Amino acid sequence: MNYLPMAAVLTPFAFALLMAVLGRDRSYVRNILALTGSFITFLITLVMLPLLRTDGWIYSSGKFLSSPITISFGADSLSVFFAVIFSFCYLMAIIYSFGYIAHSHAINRYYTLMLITLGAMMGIVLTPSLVGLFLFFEVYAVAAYLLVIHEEDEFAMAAGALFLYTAVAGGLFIFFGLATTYFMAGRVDFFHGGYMSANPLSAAALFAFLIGFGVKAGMFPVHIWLPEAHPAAPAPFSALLSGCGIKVGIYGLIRIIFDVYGTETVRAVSFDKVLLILAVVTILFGSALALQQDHLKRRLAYSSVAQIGYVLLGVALLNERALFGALFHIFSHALMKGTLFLCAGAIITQTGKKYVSELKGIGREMPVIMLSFTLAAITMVGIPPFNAFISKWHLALASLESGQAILVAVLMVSSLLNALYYFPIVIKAFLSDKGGVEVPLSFGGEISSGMLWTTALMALLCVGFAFIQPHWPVMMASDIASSFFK
Amino acid sequence: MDGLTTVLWQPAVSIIVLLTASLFIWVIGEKGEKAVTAISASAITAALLFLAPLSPYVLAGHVQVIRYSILPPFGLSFRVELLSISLALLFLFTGLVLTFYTGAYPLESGKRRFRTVFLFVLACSVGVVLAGDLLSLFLFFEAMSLSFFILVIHNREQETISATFKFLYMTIGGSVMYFIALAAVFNQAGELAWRDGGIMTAGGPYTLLAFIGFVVAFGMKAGMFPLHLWMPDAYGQAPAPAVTLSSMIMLKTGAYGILRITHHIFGIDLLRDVSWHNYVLVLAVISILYGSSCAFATRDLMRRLAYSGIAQLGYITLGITMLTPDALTGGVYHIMAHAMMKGTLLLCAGAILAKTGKRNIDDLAGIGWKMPFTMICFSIAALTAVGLPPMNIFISKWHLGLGALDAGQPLLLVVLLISSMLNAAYYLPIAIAAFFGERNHDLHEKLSWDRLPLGMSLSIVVLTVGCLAFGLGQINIPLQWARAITAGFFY
Repeated sequence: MNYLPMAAVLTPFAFALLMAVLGRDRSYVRNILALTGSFITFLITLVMLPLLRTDGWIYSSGKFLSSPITISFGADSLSVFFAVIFSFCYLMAIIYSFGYIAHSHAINRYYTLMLITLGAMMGIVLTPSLVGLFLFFEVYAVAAYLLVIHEEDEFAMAAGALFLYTAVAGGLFIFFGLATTYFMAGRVDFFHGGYMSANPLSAAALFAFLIGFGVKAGMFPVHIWLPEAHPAAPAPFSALLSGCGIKVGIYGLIRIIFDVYGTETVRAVSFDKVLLILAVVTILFGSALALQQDHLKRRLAYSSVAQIGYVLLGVALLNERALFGALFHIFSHALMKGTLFLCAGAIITQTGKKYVSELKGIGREMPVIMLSFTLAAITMVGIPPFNAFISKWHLALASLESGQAILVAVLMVSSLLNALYYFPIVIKAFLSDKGGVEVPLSFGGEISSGMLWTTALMALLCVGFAFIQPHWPVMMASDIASSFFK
Repeated sequence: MDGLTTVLWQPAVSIIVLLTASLFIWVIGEKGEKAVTAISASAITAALLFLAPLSPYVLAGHVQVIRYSILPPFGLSFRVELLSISLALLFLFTGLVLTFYTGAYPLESGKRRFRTVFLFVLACSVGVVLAGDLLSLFLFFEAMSLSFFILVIHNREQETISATFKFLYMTIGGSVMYFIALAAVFNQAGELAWRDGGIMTAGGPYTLLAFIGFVVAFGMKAGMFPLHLWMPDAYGQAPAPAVTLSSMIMLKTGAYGILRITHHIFGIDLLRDVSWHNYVLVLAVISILYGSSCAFATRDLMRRLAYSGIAQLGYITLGITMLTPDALTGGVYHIMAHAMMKGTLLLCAGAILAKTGKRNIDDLAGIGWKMPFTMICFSIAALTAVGLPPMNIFISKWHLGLGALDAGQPLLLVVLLISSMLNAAYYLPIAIAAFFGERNHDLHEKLSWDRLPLGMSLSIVVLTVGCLAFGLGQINIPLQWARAITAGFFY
């Protein structure tokens, strides 16, 4: 099965090429190509799932490009975990796009770029060295930029410019870290336990990596692109930016901390403390700003900043339980925030309403969408037994284990803020009447069926895993976490 | 190849062929555009075919000095080795591409003069890299610089003439400095030929004088701060093919000169001893930052490309003066990478200028929909310039970065990255505005022709492929050559 990682990366690129050539005129050709491409990619990642139980890497044979940027493909359990989540979210977003993007301009470009970003995502996680990661990282940045500016209005262009330049700057920080790593260690592969020694230069490189990957992850204070790009991008891609795009930064940080530097070196240069402080600030800052936003997608975007703070917290504590919490939160956040953005997109498509204050009574017009929104919001707040509760629970326990009780307070404050900025939307949507007029509840026909059932499916998955035994995502995440602390 | 025993005739014959062809173009005159292109192209191809078979010989590490006892008192000499052959091949190849572009480019008048001098400059630049000693190099260097003057002044407008005189006076100043340096070297070493490890033995006032003289002469040609003053003005005024010739070929002779004197006149041991290379290194860093900042500030497309050239040549000089093998590999590779990248950008800018008459960046919004092919190539070259992997410039920056770390100067790596960021800030908006966002509707009416002539589009494609292809292949031949060249210097 060692050809699978390579196939997972190259399939979307091949379909992107087909899309660019064949998808100019006919919408059904576009839809078939996009669906097949993302579905095959998802299947390939599913077939790789058994890899989760093996230690170490499985390599695809064959190297591409010449030195010094030789890349190869491979997968270990962490890669597969990310690849499955990403390809599933892409599959959902692409099906959702059939309805969402149908009346837009440049549809061919849109689908081509969606497939390219999918391929780049797969490339980022399915390559066993920093060089490949960096290369696909840059491919992703350029293609994602073109998706952010899809609308081509002034607002989208400005948001896109911010996205592009922060991404380029982040890429240059990674370049610094990459060159330094190669210079000091003579290797840039991933190896559990790491291989970098602690000295001022390697510390500088580590912090450069933090900034580079932090930009992508939306970490405070380099999150600035995030609240601009999410509202500007088409809704399915906003869902992917939050569900997958920012997780790429986390993936990079996990690899750097555990597989390039190793926890000892990270502790020796006090990197974990800095990361912890940034994580806490990110959580509180994101939640506080989300509360102030009236623009729905912008509120969701700031919420993503806060949620990525949880993941950073889990990474920064450098113990097995915390890493498990972080990984599981990546999974649960991808579903939750994906659902919420898809809901926001459905509302905009159907009613043109972008602001929270306009959403009174919307639950009666679009009951399925708003029920999905409600499920995702409940999950997000961390009500047991749904997904985010599990991650918060383990993050809290890990904080206590490492003697940082204050972090539990941070998590609780943030959960409270989550409730404060999600529940009013839900309450107004269902319970307040619209300008004094009682709107009758109307199921069906609210939006195109593809948009409806992808949103509903994502929402059900947010809560559904709680009722399935054994809890597969929990098992996967804990296997991976333990493999890093053997 | 039994080149060791026979005297190689190829360098001299190549240059003679090129010079004869340029004379011939003058003679047949304005009669046939196509004939002029055909003659130039066949002369350059002939020179390529003469020199290319020498590559296995030089790759094996052989060196041959060929001396002709003409031009007393020292004679004319050529040196066949990897560095000179690879640069000569690069110059000839890019010259060939440019010939087709120039053939199709709508020059208003004086085509005969332009084409003649164009080929003459190319011949001299090949002479510069093949020359076997300081005096032979001087001969070709002077001929190249002075004849390039005719290309800059081509339009003969008032502003052109003042720009050209700036270029002329600076060139003459550079020659004077070169002459002084030449005398100082001869006084100290008693010879003028290249030698591994250098011919200067001790650092003294005369040696320093020679060093300063060479740095001024070559640095001026390479647009090194503060000797770059001629460049933005000349680029703003000269026709696009002349600018491209200068950027792809002539500027590189300056960098080549600095490389030669570093390793074959002064020698790295001496330089490490006296640390003079650090002054050049500081100037290179200033050039990088200053050039990038000025490029960012200007709104004139050609001037922006000129300032960017100052920064890019700074990379090459930096690679040479860090005195570490990786950095030199990066610098040598950057000679090729920059030629491809900047060549593409300049040819595209020339096509835009010829087609729309617009040179202000703000007027170019939406041009991608009128000239899609040109602007796609421009965008690829712009992304290359930013240093995105796997394109060429990433590879040079990578080696330069490793060299900087090797030299214990991580800050130089930071300088490279800041410059990359500035590259992104001044190239990408052009590419973005060409395709997305508001469009300049005024632009769509004033087009002088519909499609680009074949010669122009073909040359743009070839150079764009040059930006992309080497990084994508399994084996990067230019990089292998750059490494081999470096290995020859750091034996």
